[in-house]
Amino acid sequence: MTSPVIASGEGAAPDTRARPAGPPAGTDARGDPVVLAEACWPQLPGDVLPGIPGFVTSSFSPLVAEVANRCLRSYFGEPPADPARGGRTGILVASATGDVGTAAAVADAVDHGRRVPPLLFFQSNHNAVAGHIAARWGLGGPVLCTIPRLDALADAWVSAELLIDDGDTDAVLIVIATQARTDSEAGYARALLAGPESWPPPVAAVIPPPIQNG
Amino acid sequence: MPDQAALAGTPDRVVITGLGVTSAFGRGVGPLATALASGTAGFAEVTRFGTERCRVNVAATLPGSPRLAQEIAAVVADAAACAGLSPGERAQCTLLVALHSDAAAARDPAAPHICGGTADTVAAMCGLSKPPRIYATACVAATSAIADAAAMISRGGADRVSVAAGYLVDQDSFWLFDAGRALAGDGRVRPFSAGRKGMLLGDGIAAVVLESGTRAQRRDARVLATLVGWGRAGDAYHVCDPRPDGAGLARAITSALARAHLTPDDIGYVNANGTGTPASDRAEAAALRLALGSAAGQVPVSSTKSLHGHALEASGLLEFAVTITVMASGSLPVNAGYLGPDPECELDLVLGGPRPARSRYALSVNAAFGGANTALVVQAA
Repeated sequence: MTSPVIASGEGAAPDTRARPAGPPAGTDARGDPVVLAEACWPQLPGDVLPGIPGFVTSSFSPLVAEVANRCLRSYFGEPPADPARGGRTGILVASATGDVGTAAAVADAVDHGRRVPPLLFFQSNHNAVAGHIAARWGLGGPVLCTIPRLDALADAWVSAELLIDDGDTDAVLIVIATQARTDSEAGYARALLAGPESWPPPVAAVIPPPIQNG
Repeated sequence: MPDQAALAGTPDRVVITGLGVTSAFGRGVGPLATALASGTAGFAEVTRFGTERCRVNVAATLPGSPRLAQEIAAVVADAAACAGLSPGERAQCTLLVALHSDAAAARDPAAPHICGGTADTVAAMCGLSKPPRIYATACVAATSAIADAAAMISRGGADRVSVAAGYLVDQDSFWLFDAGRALAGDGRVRPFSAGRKGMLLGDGIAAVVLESGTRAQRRDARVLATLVGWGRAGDAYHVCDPRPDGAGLARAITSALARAHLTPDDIGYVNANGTGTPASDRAEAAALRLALGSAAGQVPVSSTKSLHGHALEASGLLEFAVTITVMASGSLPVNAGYLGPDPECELDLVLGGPRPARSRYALSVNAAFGGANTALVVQAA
């Protein structure tokens, strides 16, 4: 499976839909998902990453949450998503780095013999921010977090397709996030809503972001 | 419920032909099976690292200083040998791995990601291709990998998949869980019991070989069990708390039963998530009642975390191995640490000692932060 490619679509909304090159052998029961909406961070120079109450120290969860919010808002409008579609949308957080900020903060506390800040416990796994997004938007599909090894987007698309084709969800919000290691580096995140071509077009025009490997 | 279109056609049967496991009780299925049969908990004072800043100093750990990659490679090799795979067959086997974050990688600014090089080391040691991804979905990481493997096999995307997971209790995670006040201050895990205080961590390393039933039959492989159903669903509720009504976990269970073409009455054992945490056990009991209906009062339930502890990302695979093992033996393991009934956790818990299995079907459920839920249905061979 390869990364999704832009394909022609229907409807009044801007054509941001994409289609993968082809499904794995024998997995044609439900049709291929298409890209219903997408967003990235940073989108513009000087783009600001809003914090999330309860999440501290690391930029990872704010990065994931912000790009997810942009993508979901462009498709559903303001949260929550409508229950019929939101309830059948899963979340996949695929990060080539993982939350290095939180892991380093825990290690630093341990190495210096300090008590670990309790809030780090609650954000210590990628599931936490996935749960934050799911709760805010009412996304009731499966939650999956991975560390892709090569092309993050291509691998995440394979995982999302498998989830959809397996039948426990109709759509998957894919978030690709690479956290900056230092203040001088820039983090990057991209979100795609993969779902059935039969779903309505997004409520807002979205300019597809430049392709970058996550 | 899985979409009916996704269930259309004749998906291939998913069988388990290989199993390898290491727990605090020792290396191999034998020590684990002995502990399950006797109901002996593996918790003891932690000596692997300092706990001087912690409220709790108890976990279920192997003696000495085991190394994760070597321990995972050993169980992957055990599972391959159990499955009777030739070196060529092993090399063609897709490897999926679930891991907790790596303490060394957290201290190395040059490390590419938080899980370090464990997965690649395992693949190299076992003669397998590098895994395409690491499953990091907290306490459902391993069961998510199992579900993905099953989906791949059943829909013709793969003939055989090796799923491995490993967690060794380390100082970072122990101090982190202690700081979150998640660990049981009384040094025991008491799932669904009155007076339960929380969870305790435990070493867990396991691997299974999942295989197309058709392919396994063709090579006359010994089938340990069949994975007849799997389901996944989210809570859409909270960052870390489970949905109190259990609706998300119930949907995962219902999906797994639908895929297995079974009713709740068919299930003869539930290996529960049962962390021993007050809110989590309460929500899980609600989920079991919601998904199983009147059968929830009759199906034997136990959480073997009360014996081997919580192996985080590897917990689901360790408990899958437990479920396969106890269904093969026909003896259901005890829900240890029980002090008395909690009216909000009314279930038919296996108490006092093992109980004979009365059905060939078992359900293994897991839940995680972020409202991630999985359910697996195992049919004994």
